[in-house]
Amino acid sequence: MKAIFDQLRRLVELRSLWLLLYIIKASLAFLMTLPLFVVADSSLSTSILGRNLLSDWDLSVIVELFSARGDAFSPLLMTVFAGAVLYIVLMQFVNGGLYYTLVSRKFKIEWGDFFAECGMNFGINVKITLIMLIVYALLLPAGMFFVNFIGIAGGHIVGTPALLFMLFKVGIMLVILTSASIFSDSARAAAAANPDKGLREILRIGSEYFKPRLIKLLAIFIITYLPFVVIWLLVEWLALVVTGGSGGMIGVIIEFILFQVAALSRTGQKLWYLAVLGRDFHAVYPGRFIPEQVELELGDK
Amino acid sequence: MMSSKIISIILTILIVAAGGASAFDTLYVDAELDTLRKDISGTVIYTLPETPITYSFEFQLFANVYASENSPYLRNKSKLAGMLKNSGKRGEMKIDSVLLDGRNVSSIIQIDYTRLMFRPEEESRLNGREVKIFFRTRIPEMADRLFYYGDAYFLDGWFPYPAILLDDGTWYNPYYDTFAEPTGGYFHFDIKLHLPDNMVIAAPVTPEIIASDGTLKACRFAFGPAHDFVLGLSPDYMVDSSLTGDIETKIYYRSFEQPVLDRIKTAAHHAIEYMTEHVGEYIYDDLTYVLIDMVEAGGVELPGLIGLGSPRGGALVSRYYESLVIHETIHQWFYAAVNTDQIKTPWMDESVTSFFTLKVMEKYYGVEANSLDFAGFKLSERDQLRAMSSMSRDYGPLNRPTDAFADGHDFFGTIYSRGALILETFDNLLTDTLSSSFWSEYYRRYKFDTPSPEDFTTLAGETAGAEIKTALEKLIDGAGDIDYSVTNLTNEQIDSVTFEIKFTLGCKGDIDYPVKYSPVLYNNDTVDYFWAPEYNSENITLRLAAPANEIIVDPDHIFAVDDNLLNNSVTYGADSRAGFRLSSGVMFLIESLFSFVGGM
Repeated sequence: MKAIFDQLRRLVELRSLWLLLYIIKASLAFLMTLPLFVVADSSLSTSILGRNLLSDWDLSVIVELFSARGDAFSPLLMTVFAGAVLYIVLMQFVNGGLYYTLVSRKFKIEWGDFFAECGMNFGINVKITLIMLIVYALLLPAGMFFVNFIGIAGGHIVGTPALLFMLFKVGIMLVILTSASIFSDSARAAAAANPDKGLREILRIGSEYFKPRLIKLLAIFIITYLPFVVIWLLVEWLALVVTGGSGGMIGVIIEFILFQVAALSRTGQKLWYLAVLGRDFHAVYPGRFIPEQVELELGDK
Repeated sequence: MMSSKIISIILTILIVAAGGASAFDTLYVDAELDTLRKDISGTVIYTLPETPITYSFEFQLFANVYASENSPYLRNKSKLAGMLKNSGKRGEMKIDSVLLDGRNVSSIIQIDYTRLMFRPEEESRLNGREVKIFFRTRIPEMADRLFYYGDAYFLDGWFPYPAILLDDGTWYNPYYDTFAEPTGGYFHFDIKLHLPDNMVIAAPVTPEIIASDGTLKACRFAFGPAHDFVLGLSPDYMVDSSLTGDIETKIYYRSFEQPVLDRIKTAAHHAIEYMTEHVGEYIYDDLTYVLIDMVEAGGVELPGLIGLGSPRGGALVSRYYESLVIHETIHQWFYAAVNTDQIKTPWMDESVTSFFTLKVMEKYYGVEANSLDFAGFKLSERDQLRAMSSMSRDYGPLNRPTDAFADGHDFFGTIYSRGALILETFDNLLTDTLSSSFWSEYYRRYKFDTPSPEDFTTLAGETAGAEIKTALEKLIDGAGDIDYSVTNLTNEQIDSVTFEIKFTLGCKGDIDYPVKYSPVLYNNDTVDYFWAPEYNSENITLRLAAPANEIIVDPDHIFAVDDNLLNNSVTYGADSRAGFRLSSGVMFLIESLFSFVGGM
C-alpha cells in the first residue's frame, strides 16, 4: 500500500505534465466536436423534441438528427478521423519528452529540456508508431481468429452467460492489444534512454526488457487501470443522476465536468503506469541515465 | 323415406353452403427423408382443377434457388451464397418423372430454374386430370428456408408445388429473385412422410403415426387450408406447450435454448391477444414455434409454423427477440390467413406486419425504450423503423415488386420500416373507431384469399371515404420526403390585449392532407387549427391574447411517416442545452477514442 501511495505522490509531482497531456487531448477533442455542436444546435435549439435529450440519452432525438442532417455526418466523421491522426502524430512529438522525463526520473520538469527531447526523439517515435501499426494490423485479425475459435465453446449459451462470455472475449482482445502497447512503451523507453542508437538496436533493447516482464507489466497496467474504471463508472452514474434529476443547464454542465474528470483520470492512469514502467526500465537499462561513475583513485603505488 | 330424402337434401345444402372446406384442392405428398444422403424423395399428386379451362400445368421447384451460389435468389445473400460455395453442399430438386393420368410425359416437361412447365403443342384440355410427379430434393447445408445443420432439418419448399392458375387458364409461376419469398395458392395437404424414428417433428399440425418399426416411422399430416407446408425436425428437440386462449402454442427447442422460452411465450401471447382483439381469430388450432440455425434471416413465417433463428451466443440485452417473435406471429394473420403475392406486392404482408409489430410492442412494452433501456440509453421499435426509413425514402414507392428494389437498404428500409410508418399514418387517419372496423373487415373479407393493393385501397375508401383512399394511394404509390414543418416564429404586440403571431408552415411530399397545428401560448393555453396545404409553404398570421411560446405542427403524430420530426415544432427562444449535452457526450467519446489510439 505504501508503494502505491509513493507512486501516487510521484504522480502529483508530475501534475504539470499530466495537465499538459490532458489539455492536448481535451482541446483537440473540443475542436473536433465544435462542428457537431453547430449542426446539432441549429436543429435542436428551436425544437421541442430536443428536450428529450436533457434527461436521457434518448436515441429517438439522435435518429431524427441523423435523418434530418445525415448529409452533415460524413464530414463530421472525417473530421474525427483526421483529428485522431493528428493526435497520434502530436503524441509522437510529446512522447519524446514524456518518456525522457519518466525514464530519467527527473520529475522536476525543465520545459526547455522537455521540448528539446520532444524534438530530438520525434523521428524514432514516429518509426516505432509505424512499426506498431503493422503489429496491430497483424494482431487484430490473429486475435479475432483466436477469440472466434474459443467462441465456439460458448456457442450454446444464451442470455447473461453469453454476455459474460462476450466480455471475456473482449477482455482477451484487450490483453492482446495491451501487450502490444506495452512493447511499444518498452521500445519508447529504450529510445529515451538510448537516443544515439538506431531503430533495430532500440527494438532489441525494448524487446529484451519486454519479454521477461510482460506478465508483471500487464499486472501493473491492470492495477493502475482499475481506479480509472471505478472513476468512470462513478462518473457515468453521477452524470445520469444529475441530468435525470435537475435536467436543466446545471445538470448538463455538471455532467460535462464529470466527463472531463473521467478523461483527466484516464490520462492520469496511463501516466501512473508509465511512471512505474519508467522506474523499472531505469533500474534495468539506464542507458544515458546511468549515474555518473566516480573514479576511485586507488593508484598502483 | 320422404323424410330421409329431405334430410339428405338439407345436409347437401349445408355442406355446399359451408363451402370453405371444400373450396380448396388437396395436394397429396408421399415422401421419405434420407438422413444419410441428406435428401428427401417421393411423389406429389395433384388433380388439376375443373375451372378455368387450361391446356397446360406448371409447378414450382423452390429448392432450385440453392442449386448455385449465383442463383437470382442468392444475389443479395452474400453470406449464404459464400457458405454454399465453400461447403459445396447445395440444394436442388430433381424431377425423375411426371405422369399425367398415369402416362409418362417427362419428355415434354421443361424446367427453367424453379419453374417446371408442361405446355404440349397439341391443345388438349387438362382440367380434372391427375398429375403425379416423382421428385428427389437434395437438402442444402445451412440456408434460410430449406436446409439441414447437424441432425436438424428445416423443410420449406421441399416438394414440387403447383404454380398459381389464373382466371384465363394460364399459370403464374413466380420468379424467385433475391427478395422473393415462396408464393402459392391454398391447398389442403395430405402428406405422408417416412423418416427416422428418433426424429422429433415440429409441424403446424400434430402428425398421426401410421407405422413404426423402431428405426423408421411413417407419419401422416392432414393440414389446411394453407399455402405452404413446412416441417422442423431434430432428434434433440424438446417441446413446451401452453394455451393462449384456445390456441395451443408449442415451442420446439434444444436444451441450451431453454432460457429464452419464457420470453418467446410472453411475446407470442401478446401478439395473439392483440391480433385476436383488433383483427380476428387465428385460423388454425395449433401454432408451432421451432428454433433453428438459419442463415441470413432472423425468423421465417409459415402457415401454422414459425421458424425462429436460434438465440445461441446471443446476450439478448434488448427486446429484439420479442420483436422478432411478435413479427412472425402477426404473419399468421397477414400472410397465412390473408395471403398476398409476396413477389408482386411484398408490402401487403411485411409492411402490414411491421405496423402491427410496432403497435404490439408499444402496447405491451411501452412507447419509449421498448427495445432497449440501459445506462440512460433509450431505444424504441419506432426509432429503429424511423432510422431505417430515413435511409430508404429516396428509392421509390412502397407499392413495388421485389425485383424493383435496388438493394437490401431499399427493400428492407422501404418494405419493413417505411411501409410500417406509412400504414401507421393511414391507420391514424382512420381514427380508432374506423381502424378497428377496417382491419376486421379486411381480415374477414380476404381470409384464405389473395387481395390486391386495389382491394386494400377500395376497402379503405368504403370504410373511411374517398379522401382517405386518395391519401392512402398517394402514400403507397409516392416516393421521396414527406415532411410537415414550422419555422420563423415571431410575436408582436399590437395593443394591450392582442399579439400578432407569425410563422411559416411547410409541407413536402405528395400528401396534401389537412394537418393540425397548435400554438402554445405563454400562459400555457393551446389553440388548435388545421392547415390544408395548397402550396409547399404558407405564412400564417394569428392574432391572439398572448404571445406564442411554441408552435407544434401535427401534435398528435398522425403523420408517422413524416421524415423530420425536429422541424415539427418551433420555439420562440432558442435553447442550446440539448445540443450542448449531445456535444459534451460526443467530446468525451472522442477523448476516449484518443486515449485508445494515442495511449494517453
